[in-house]
Amino acid sequence: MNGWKDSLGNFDPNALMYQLPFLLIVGFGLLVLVLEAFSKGSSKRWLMWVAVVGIAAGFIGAYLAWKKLGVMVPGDAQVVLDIARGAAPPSTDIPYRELFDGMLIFDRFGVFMNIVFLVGALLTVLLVADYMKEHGFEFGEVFALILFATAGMMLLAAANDLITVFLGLETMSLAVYVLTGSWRRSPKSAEAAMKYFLMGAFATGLLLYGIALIYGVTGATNLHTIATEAPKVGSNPLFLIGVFLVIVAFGFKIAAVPFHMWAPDAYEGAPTPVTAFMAAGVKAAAFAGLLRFFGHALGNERLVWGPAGWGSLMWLLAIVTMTLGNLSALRQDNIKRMLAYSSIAHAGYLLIGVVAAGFGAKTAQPAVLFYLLAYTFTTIGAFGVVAWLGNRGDERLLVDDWAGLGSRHPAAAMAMTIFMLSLAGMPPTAGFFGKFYIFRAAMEAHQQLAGQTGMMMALVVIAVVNSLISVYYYLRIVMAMYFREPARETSPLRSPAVALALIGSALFVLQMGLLPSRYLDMATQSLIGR
Amino acid sequence: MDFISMITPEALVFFGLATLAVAGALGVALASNILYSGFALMATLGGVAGLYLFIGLDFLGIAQLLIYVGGILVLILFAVLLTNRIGAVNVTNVSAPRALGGAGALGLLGLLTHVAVKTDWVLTTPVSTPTTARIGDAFLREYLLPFEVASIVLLMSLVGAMVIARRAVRDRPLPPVQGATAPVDGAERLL
Amino acid sequence: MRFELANILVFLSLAVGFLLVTLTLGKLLRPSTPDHNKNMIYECGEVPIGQAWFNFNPRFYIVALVFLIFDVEVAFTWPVARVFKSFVRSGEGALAFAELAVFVVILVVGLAYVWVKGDLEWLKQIVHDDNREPVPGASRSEPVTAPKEAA
Repeated sequence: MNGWKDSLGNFDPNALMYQLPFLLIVGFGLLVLVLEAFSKGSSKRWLMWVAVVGIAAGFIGAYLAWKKLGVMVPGDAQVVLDIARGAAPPSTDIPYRELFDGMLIFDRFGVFMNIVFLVGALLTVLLVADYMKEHGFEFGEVFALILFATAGMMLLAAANDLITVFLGLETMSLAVYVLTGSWRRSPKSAEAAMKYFLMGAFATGLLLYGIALIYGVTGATNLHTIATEAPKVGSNPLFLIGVFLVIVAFGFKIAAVPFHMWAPDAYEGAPTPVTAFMAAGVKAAAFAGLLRFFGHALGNERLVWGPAGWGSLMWLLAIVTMTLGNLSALRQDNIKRMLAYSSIAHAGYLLIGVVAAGFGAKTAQPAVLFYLLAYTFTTIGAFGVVAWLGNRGDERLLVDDWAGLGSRHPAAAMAMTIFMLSLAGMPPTAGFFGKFYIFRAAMEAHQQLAGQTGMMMALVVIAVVNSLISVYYYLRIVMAMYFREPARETSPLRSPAVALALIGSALFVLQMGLLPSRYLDMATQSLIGR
Repeated sequence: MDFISMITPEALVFFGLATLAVAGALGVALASNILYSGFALMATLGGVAGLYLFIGLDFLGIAQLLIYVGGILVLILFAVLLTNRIGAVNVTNVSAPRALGGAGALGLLGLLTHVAVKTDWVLTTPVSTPTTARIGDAFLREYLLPFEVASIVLLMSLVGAMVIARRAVRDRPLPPVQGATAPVDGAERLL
Repeated sequence: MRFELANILVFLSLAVGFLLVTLTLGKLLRPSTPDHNKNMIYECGEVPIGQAWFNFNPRFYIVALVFLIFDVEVAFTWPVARVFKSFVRSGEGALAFAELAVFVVILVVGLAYVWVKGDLEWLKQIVHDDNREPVPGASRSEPVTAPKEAA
């Protein structure tokens, strides 16, 4: 008889090493679920620590995968081994590894995104336990759902096939729909889940339709094959409609402006830590998919520009998204709604990076990655302070509720100030460099176009004007905290986990603002392979 | 090509099934009673299953019948039937006028038809062999990842739906019990 | 035609045609004298109470949901079972087994979860974690469950 190993065919168990973060997160998700079911006792808060251990293991897995995908040197043992096993020799000097017949691709881009998702999941897990306890809707499955959503994001970031894109998006979205509606007794939470779910299901339908049309024209769902086929069929109306539908579907996920109408209600109604997770993790994952499919696979100049190019469409989306997001945020008195509109505006800035990447600006991919990491720390931190301040039956979401916080809780006010400065893009915070790198990438794209068109320049100018507008509403909260008399008593959450999450993200926001080069170096090494 | 020669038995079957699917979809969209919408969905799903069988996808057709008609449709009807005061929902969203929606739908239909007619479709001859084995092979080889991830998606939808639906059971008020301590039996156990 | 699916079509049309013909014939032949009792909804001889539009017990939904999930699971595993033998013959049995096992084990976790949580039980204590007042008449579809302390 054959040995056990032989009967595995040409499956290579070593290859699973690259997938370690994903496998660990799924494994811990299952573990949390089993522990939840079989453990006694009504409080499941301790499961938070199981999830934290799982995420820590995910970080270690990401570190190992990062090492394994190190910069290639000629004759590198690992690469030689891969080629001997039948892998195609890499076409670029960016190390990558394809798995599952090209369904997944592993490169440092994916690993970097994994780290972003793990950061988002870790902060959310730390915030959510005590928030749920305070508001009286504890349930242990929340940690499993967060881990599964993170696994879906990882799948999306490693997707090299439209089928994997779809699966990753679904895995992530299904979990987040449930998380959004998990606060059963809040009618707003149910409304949020309903709107988010309906819009999300609609977007999924459009995505599938788009995938079907693209498959109909190119005969492939593999991103690499589509990339080689696309220049030949680029003007086929069927292909254009397919690409358009995919853009619309992603537009829903990132809440870009004509497809954003669900976002303010969903963000306002969801439990605040879940809102943070939606604003950071889901958005980052969708941008990873956008960069892989549009910024990289379809990054052919003929496909990007022109009246039917996807770049022109995204150019328009970026402008509308930034402007409308910021203008609507100006008028909000509810902090969660304001942050929701601010999150829409940030999707607009990030779209600039995707367009620039489509033009082959070398600095665009790292810029988007840096921005996403900075944005994850900042936005979860900001929502975290909101979650920290509220009490049962009194969420304290109005700007007036924040008056005088600076004198009562100086540390929290300081953290919120840091997050607000970072969202506004002011030094010395991470948000400043995030915006700076994105604008620099857009200018590089402008130069590559060699003055053919001033479109990228226009984009940068509009983005700068928008950033200036946004300063007003971010600083409004800071002003309320420091320059107004305290309105009423506050009794914020007494939770070491929440404090840890807030202090940690504030420190990282500062560190990324003061010493950005380390993170930028890491992002610069994280290019999309193949 | 003259019209009469286009009327083959195959064309008749195809257009019959397509009409069933489209008529059902119209019924879903236009029925005033949400329960009738649910039943009209059965025609759509059945028509689509018929179309799958028509192009020789035996497994897909049967799976469509089993899962969509036999499972999801039943679930949708249950969901409608157990929704509290569904008739009394106060819709606050502004919906587009019917004329506008109809114009949009017709425009989209025109565009898609135009494109579909214009495109040079790559024609393949249908393979007349059962597909189950090929699907199984694909699941274990090139589509292994989607196959495994599908189980995670299923697990998650199970857990997620339980989290939400179970609480619905718990949140329902206790029925007024007039000192009844006897174990429940008989017909009441059924409902 | 393909796989003799036409046979099914013939059977289908025969069945539908048979129904149509007999029902039409019956309608033409029988006398029509409706009265109140004849028009009543047939409920096994009982006089119907209330309307047909009432809330069903949400547990129907939960059971249907669990059924659906495992229905889909069967649809996924069926084709794999179909080719399993050919994998064993070509010496890749362990691969196929491992792949199928991962799929099934993940779903078994789900089954264990709903089982332990008591979602598969039809009658269970209704936990009352909410201060809303009982809605009169809501018991129409609700099993009358004895309170725990009384039992």
